[in-house]
Amino acid sequence: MSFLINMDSFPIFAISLLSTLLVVMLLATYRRRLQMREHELAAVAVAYESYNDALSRLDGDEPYLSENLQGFIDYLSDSLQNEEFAEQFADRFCMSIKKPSAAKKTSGIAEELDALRKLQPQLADNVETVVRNAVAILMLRWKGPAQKIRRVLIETMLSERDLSVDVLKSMRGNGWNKHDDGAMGATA
Amino acid sequence: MEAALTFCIKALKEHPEKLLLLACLIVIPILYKLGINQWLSCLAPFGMYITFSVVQVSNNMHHVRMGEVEVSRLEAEARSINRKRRSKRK
Repeated sequence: MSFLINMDSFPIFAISLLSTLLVVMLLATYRRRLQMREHELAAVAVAYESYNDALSRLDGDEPYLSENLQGFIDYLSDSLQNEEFAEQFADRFCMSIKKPSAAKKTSGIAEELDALRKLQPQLADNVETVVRNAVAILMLRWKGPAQKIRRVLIETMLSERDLSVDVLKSMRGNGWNKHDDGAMGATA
Repeated sequence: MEAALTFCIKALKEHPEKLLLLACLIVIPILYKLGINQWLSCLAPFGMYITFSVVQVSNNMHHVRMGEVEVSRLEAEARSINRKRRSKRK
């Protein structure tokens, strides 16, 4: 650079370059966060579409749906747009991931859903779709809970080192990286 | 030389911000040689680069806002479906 720029002017160039890089790095960090939020909102929109579709197929006077299941669906629909509920859900979800209970609890709702599946498989599928998408919406709709869940999931993934290594080993040589020429140790 | 040029083009193809930074770094010595004020010849291209970054951020902010609007629309739809369901039961 010195043959292009006079050495007397080099400090000016260095100050400008460094300050620009600092500003741009800060902007890039903020931009990455925005992009992540954008992806989360796109996922929430997809989940909502699926949720609305399944909910519209569940009749209010459906004779096969028990009072218990109807109440559960009503409770979910009411709480879905409540940020405080999403916070509580995220806390419980994180706790269950960090300290999984040894004894498996049987849920009354799950038992009822199994019973419903034997009678009306389509209806049971709809209820399951509603619940599954509601969980996805609760996880990603609000910024705080989404951040909390993401952090705990990454921590769990890092602590279960052997599991992650096994997953990578099983992927190797299966052609998963054949289009990625830049991948380290890419196998043909 | 040709390989290096091809490598550079490939690397910068999908990164307009890096391409712009490279252009800025080329433009600065040219402005110097043209005898333009030292501060101005440094700050004008870098200012352009920062403006480009700000525009990209505002573009992302717009996308997030649009995402929020879309989710709000779907939330309103969910509320109306739920109201219909409940009115049928009553």
